[in-house]
Amino acid sequence: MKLTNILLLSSALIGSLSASSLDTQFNYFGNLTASSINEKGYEVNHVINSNVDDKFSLAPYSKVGAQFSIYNDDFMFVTQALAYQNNDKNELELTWLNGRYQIMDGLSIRLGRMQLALFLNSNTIDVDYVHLWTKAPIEIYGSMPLKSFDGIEIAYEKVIQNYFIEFKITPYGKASTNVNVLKGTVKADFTDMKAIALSVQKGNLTLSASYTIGIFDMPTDNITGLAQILGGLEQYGNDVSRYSYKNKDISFLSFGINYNYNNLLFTSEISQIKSESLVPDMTAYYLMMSYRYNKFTPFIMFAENKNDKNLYKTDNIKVVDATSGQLKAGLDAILYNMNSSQQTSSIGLRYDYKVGIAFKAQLDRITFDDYGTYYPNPQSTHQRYGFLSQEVGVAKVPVFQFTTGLSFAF
Amino acid sequence: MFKILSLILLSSLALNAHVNVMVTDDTEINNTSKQELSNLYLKKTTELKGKKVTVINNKKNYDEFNKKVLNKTPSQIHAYWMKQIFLGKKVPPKNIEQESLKGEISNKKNTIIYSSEKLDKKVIYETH
Repeated sequence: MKLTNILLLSSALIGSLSASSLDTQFNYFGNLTASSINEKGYEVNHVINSNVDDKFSLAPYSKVGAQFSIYNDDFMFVTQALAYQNNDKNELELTWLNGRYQIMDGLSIRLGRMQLALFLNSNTIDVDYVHLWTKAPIEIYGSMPLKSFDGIEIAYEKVIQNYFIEFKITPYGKASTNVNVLKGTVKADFTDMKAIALSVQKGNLTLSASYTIGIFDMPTDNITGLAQILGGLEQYGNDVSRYSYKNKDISFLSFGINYNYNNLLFTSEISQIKSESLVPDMTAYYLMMSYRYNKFTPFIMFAENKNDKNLYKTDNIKVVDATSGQLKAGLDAILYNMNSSQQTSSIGLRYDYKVGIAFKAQLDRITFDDYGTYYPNPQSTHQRYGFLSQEVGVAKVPVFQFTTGLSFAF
Repeated sequence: MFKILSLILLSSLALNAHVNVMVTDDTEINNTSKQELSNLYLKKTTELKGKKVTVINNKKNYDEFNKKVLNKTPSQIHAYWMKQIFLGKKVPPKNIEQESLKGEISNKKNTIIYSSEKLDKKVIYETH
């Protein structure tokens, strides 16, 4: 759905409802946060934000957002923009632009631009103030570059006895964004999106689940040597279609739990991404425990993601001579770079200075898994390019990341 | 010194005061529970005992009510509403001055308010 169509539709909705009284509201949020890692030769890679290296920088996690809402009892129109920095460039993104109409008590339909709810906190991921952590675990939230989609959402929520049930269906949606890759950026598209999500809350316990499917398309021309290698292997009669990201079916499955016992809070989430593509399937989870003591909330967290095909198999590639052997080794080198399996152990603290302002600090210890046998790729300076990239010749060691700053929302 | 002690005592009394949850007189709603109030004030529902109701906050007893009925600190309730607003889903109920409460509900049916003071309205819940 084009942006102009959304604007026209939203204007029509506002116009049709202008007879009833409408209220307006302006809200804003932001994050002023610095981060650094302790090792040279490594970087924490972000797909749509600046990376974190061994120099303290505000760029990767700092941002500011503003929202204007028009609403009454049955209708709500929101427009939200987000400003942040990516690779020394200032970016301004329209993250929300939609109209929501309450058809009857509990049942609503929303049309326009919304943030994707692939995982438990995806649609509020920019509003850092509402989250305990300093930054979301990259193992889950860094796995998909797309943030907003244009489409339709039908939501139903109801209190049945002591259960609060929320059910959402997205029958149509599409999204596109620029994604950071090793050399510059490329445009990624997510089309034919369909999603369902269910959340059940009883007292202090909330259980959530969501399932999203769609078609993902991202050029891989920027991966040095891949096109030549695949072309060469094809000439040897190999089917190499799976080693791309061209119009690939992709699915996201997520389960979450939130349990609050007095001042103790436990949160966990597990997700699975599946696609027959260049990037192997991935399972990720995190466990987070915190204890609120007045304005202080210390927390510990463990996050892990694992490429489901730990050794990305290329056994099906035919090797008949030295050239085909070299081509297969080249493909293995590229696939090795695709590995993102890693673990992060975190300790952190949130201090609620006053209503709307929180100071946060977090220390992460990141370790990573090897991915089969490493074949040096003479055209790459990286021997690994996952969430944590490692340059060639740099020793494999645990990497520490420190992040601190303040979050606000009003 | 006496003034400081008096202030501390008064503020601690204010924080521990009972809050009466009241409803406009012409309603058929006679009582409610903490859970039902929590659902209404967090806008998880707009119905109480099969009737559509409007809920209104009282600035004077806002923190007290949130603590005793919603089990939320000021920062937690703020974070809850920020999340709802930035999700484009809901906005918090009106939050008005104690002095405006009577006027706000004078001509409205099925409207719920709360106050530490008795307002000559039907009390449907009382915090402890």
